[in-house]
Amino acid sequence: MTTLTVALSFVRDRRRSLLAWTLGIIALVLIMAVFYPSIRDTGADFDAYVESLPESVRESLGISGASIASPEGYLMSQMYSNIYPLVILILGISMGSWAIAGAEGDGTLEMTLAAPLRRVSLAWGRFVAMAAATLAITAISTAALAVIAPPLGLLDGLPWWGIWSAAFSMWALVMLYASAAFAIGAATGRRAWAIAGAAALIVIGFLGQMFASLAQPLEYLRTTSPWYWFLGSSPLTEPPGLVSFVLPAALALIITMAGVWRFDRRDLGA
Amino acid sequence: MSNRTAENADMTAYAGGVAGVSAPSSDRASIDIADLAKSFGDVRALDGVSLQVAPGEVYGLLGANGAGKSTLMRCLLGYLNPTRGTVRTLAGNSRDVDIRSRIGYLPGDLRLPLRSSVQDILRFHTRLQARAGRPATDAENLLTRLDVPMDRRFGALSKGNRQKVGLALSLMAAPEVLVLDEPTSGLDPHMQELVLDIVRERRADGAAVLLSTHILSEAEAIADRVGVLSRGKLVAEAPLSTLLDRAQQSIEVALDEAPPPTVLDVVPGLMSAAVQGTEVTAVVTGSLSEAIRALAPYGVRRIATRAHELDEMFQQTRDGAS
Repeated sequence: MTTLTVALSFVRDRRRSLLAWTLGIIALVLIMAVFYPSIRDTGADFDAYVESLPESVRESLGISGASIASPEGYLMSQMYSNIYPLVILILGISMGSWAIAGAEGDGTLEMTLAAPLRRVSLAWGRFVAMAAATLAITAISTAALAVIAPPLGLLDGLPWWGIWSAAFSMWALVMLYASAAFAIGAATGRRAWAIAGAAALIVIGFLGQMFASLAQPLEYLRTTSPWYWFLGSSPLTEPPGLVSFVLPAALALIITMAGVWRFDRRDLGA
Repeated sequence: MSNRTAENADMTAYAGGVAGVSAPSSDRASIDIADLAKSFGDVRALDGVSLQVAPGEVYGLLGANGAGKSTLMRCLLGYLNPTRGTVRTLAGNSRDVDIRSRIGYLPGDLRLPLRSSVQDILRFHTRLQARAGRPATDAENLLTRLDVPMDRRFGALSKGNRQKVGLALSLMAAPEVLVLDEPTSGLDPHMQELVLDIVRERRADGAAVLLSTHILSEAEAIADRVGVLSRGKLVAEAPLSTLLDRAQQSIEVALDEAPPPTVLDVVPGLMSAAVQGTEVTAVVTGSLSEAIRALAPYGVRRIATRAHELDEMFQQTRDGAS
């Protein structure tokens, strides 16, 4: 219950900011969706362009297999492989890096911990808040997509649960990197390190899976990239599975536990 | 000069807590710090500090900026892990929720979420106190007395009003241990007196209070005992009146007539004296009354005095003896 109190307080303190994020991401999703008919109508040109790209680049952009003019190809290439997860990643990393390190840096952590509250409870409470906020925004923006997509033909040929499946897998990816920011911040008390660490992992993961596919001997390395777990799993047509959901979610928990363990034992900054 | 050496030796022995200090035994102390040391890399912030505070006692911690007061408090609250030594609060660990719920803490540099309303901040702390089985029974009374503006955002408050919010948070659960780092900082004189009154009430209720300040008059007004921290060491610990009796004071006197050069030789505690015509300057340990009495027959036109800061005085004393 203490964890819930902490989580609710953390969200309440950021309610205006979270509302702005929600509206912004809904707007982004809707804008991306309303462009679909024009892409579909000029599908042959786009497909010719995409065909000219190397296979590895197409896969890394989430457009291998399906035509970009098809709903699956459009959603994967224009939303789930870039801007949509990136925006939610920015939110997750922002919350994760602030949860402990940001609060420690601006001095508010000291007074929060002056209350009868274990450090572990504080940390898990804020982690839960971060997870819930990113999940809620993912779900709300997906609901907005589910409302606007059918008249645009953007869900044609996809199972009804397809965008929800992709949303959950994307959220698991976001949680993995947000947890890294949270844990680095909790372990070190330095927000800049938390942001830099998570950003470095994102870039390494994204570019690594792309370059690994270009070099045949290194192709097996792609399977170590969380981006490959997400993009390579056909999330719009396959339900969240071991690789696309359980693996990143479990890693996120392990990383968070390590960060909380260290946070509970170290000196707090002034 | 030999006088001064003897005085130094006396003070150093005193600084060790040997003479005249009525510290509570560890058994009944609400705060019990033993041989506490804390280093940050090569910097030794605290070095072998031991002190106890009994229930119903206000202990004033004096010292200049950087002397180690806040570090000591942060070790006491469990924010910092001691490099050496032990810290016990209410016979336990201050990080245990049960113990923590009985401690009130006001940091020297109070920071709370700027965008949160005072009401939200208080609600959060009140809920946690209730969950720990120690409801904030005194919250309403305190908020009224301190005149805390509840509906405003914390970031929109003046420094004095922010300090009031911090005080309300630290005092609202009627804590058995109060750790206050410069609690009257930023408050107007009326509020300063109110805060000291509240601290006195808590003391009367049996709370042990550890209060840091650099304002001597504040310590004088409220502390039962004081400790002087200098460069991480507790260089003196005693009732404040005893320390003041041993404090050095400078005096400059302008007279109507020139006195003989030896006019102050009979003054007890004289550290140094200089007579130049009708102007006399001297440094005296303890009361100045004998010095003034000795100079009075020559017609006193003007007197200026300066009390040396306690930590400065004890640092000089310690350095002189070593």
